[in-house]
Amino acid sequence: MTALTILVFLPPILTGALLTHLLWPDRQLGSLVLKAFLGAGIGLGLWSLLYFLFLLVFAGKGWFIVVELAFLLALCAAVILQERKRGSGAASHVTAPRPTRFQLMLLGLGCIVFLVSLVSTASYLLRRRQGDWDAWMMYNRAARFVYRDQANWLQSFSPQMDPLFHADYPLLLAMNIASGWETLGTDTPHVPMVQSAFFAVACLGLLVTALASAKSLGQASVGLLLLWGTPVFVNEGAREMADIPLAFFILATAILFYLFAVHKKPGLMVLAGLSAGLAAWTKNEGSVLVIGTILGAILGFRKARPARSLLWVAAGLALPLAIVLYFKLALAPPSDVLSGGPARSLQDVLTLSRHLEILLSSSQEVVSFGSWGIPFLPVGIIPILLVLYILFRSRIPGSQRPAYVASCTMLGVQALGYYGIYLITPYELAWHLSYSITRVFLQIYPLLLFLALSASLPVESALESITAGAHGVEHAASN
Amino acid sequence: MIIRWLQRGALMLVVLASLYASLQNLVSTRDLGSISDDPVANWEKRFETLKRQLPFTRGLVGYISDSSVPGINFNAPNDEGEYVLTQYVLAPIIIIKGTNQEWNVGNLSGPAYAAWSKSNHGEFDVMPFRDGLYLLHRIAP
Repeated sequence: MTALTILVFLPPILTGALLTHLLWPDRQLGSLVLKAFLGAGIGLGLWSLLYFLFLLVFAGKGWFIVVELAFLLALCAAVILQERKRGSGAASHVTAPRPTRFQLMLLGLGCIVFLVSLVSTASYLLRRRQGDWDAWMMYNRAARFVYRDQANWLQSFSPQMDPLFHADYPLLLAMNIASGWETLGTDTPHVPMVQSAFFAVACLGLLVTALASAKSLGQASVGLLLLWGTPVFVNEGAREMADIPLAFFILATAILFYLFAVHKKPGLMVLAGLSAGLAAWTKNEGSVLVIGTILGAILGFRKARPARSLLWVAAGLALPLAIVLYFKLALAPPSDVLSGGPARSLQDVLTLSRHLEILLSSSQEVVSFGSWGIPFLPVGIIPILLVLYILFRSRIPGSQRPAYVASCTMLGVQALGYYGIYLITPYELAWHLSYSITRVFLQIYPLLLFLALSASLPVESALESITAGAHGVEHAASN
Repeated sequence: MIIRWLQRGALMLVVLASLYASLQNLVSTRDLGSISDDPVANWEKRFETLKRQLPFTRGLVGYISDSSVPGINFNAPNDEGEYVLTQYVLAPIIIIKGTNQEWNVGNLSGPAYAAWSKSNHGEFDVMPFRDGLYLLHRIAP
């Protein structure tokens, strides 16, 4: 059943990879691998949107697989046409980098951590086949409502359902699970299990390939060690919840900003918009990313035709955002976050003790998040990342600065969004913080890693003698 | 030169710590329980017979548990967890707390059922199932 389930997810992953290639037809080997991981998440997001649209018109008909394959074939044809048009000359750019011994050693150690953590993921998934609490309360439950009575799937959003079950939550995970079940003809737990693992691996793959492309193989290996050597991230990837998929889209949007700053291809901004829109289709917090992405594009790329950049982002955002707005305004019951009413929310905003409680809890999490559990190292991953950044700090090239401004704006808006939600939460604040703050940090953790490691000197510089200049190090690492 | 050694030390720390943490994490997944044990699937099995007795597959069903019966001690997190699990296994039926629906599920311990029975003066036809599960059919308004 697991092999069949993996097959079920191949069409969406291929679709995403093909669409990414269509919008950014770079043929370098590194770019192709990056696009495979980027496409995995984008494809899963698009598939979910497609299934939602299918259900709106053809619920209960059961031939989504035909639409899936037709969509995939159409994209294949478009890519083949595009490649023929470009000719084979461009393929000569495909080059294989020759890694140094140090890079190979780091990569080997990274691969060990990857394999061990992959087994941990499998072990966790097998011991929690239906996922953890939120998975069967929200995402897998919503998928069951859709799959088990597809003709009446809109009843899944009945206002009579207890708000505890969050029927207002966006449907990216639930739609993919339900469509996977429809294809397989059974509501097996393997579908949410495989989807969860796919997003975790795609997030790692995206970070590693982006760092390899932006910096060096050594930097990519350190990214691998830091992301998949952090147990809280690895375990979350097996819990079948929406935080890792959201982390994927947050990371993807920032990486696409970076790639746009380097390659100046409009398709990359379209993909950034699409990625932000899919974040809003993944989790309520993802809607904050839409605002952050728009502001980031305006502030970051304000010197180079800002209106055009914004237009490209808007083009990518259009479909997912329209669907999210339709879902929120026409189908979903009201969100619990605003259930306290405006007067209560205003009172909460004006209560100083709530601000202090959120700041205290956040600062504790900054220090302890992602702790490795090593007795002589009683701090989490963020202080260690900060030390690494200080030790390897480097000047960001002017051409890349817009991407960092855009990503930091996005990060700032996201942090403000979390802060605002905690401020007006209708739940007991201490409980809400303790229940969710680690997952909130998880959502931005891959982005923090990318920003810190891509803005640093390549780790290969640690092996250079004191006389070797940074320029030489950058040059050596890029080989 | 000091900065180079600090850089090397930091890299060494990252490598060793992430190797240690990933191995430690792998070992700790054993604490999650046995691979052959699936509490959610067990909960699903528990409700199989009751589900078959319901006259519909989509609609509203009431739900009461120990926390609904005055004077009965209960474990609040477990009580809420069982409520969430019940919604999960009964999907696409929507469960609503209380017994105001025509069909209701009682997930009650022995003392809770005994206490609840005393307040049931012929309003409900009770179908008992295994492990403290009851289907309560409202027969009087």
